[in-house]
Amino acid sequence: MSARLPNEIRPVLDNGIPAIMVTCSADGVPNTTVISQVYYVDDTHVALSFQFFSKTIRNVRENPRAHVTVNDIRGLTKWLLELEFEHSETEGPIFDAMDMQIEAIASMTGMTGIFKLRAADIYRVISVGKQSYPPHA
Amino acid sequence: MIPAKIVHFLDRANVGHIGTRDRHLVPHGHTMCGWALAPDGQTLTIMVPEGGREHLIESLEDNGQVAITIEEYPAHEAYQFKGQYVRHRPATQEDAEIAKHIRDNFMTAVLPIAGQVAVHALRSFVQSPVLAVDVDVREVYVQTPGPGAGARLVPGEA
Repeated sequence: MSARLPNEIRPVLDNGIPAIMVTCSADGVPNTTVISQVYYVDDTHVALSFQFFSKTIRNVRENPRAHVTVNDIRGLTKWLLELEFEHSETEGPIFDAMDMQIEAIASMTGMTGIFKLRAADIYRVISVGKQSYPPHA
Repeated sequence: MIPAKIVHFLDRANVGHIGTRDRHLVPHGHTMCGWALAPDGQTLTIMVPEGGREHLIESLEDNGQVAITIEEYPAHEAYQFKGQYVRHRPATQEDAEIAKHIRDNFMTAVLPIAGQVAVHALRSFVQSPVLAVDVDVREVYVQTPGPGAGARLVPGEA
């Protein structure tokens, strides 16, 4: 079963604020990491950038479930996405678009030469949660 | 024992996030608004706002596994702390003061990028804590983007 991404999340995915991803190994050890990009593929899929051979990449290939938090700081909102890894793409329009975005993010954040897209990992959206928080007094 | 370099980092860092997993190995992410290292140099107390509570205690009481990423934004220096849940309690005024310190760090670092128009929103990003959770830290990993990412600092590589 898939959940649909609402249109209002699309500008949040493009806001340039890093997201947080949590995965879990097959033997039950969670892993958290900061990710620079959550790319909208269609209303039931997102793509996450695979830049380094990391624990996150190993985890989703042995246990496909993932949790991503996307921040809308100006909107006082967090979006909580439950995802399932489907497949990886190393060429094609999604890969090319993400590669261009990664280069732009790297240039803006002083990470040119460090951020490099190896693959676009495609995830199915299992659930979408919107969590608003109160303004700080 | 967490090395001095990381202790200093914890004082200047400004963003954190908690990862747990449930009995079905489904990972969950939780917002975090503060952290403090105990005098034993190994117990990290993490502060959780209302929005970070869902699935947290039930996952921790089920299996105790916890991962915490703490970052200094926008420098991108980041470390991941992995460990075992010890206990939790309601947040105190002292915990709220720690969250205020983190909020001040965050405002100082991000305001020059975001601009004055975002002051209100940035201040709200670090909410006040409702829970404090003690974690026995067993491992620390480098998460700063680059070739050293993933290296284990604690325990040191043999």
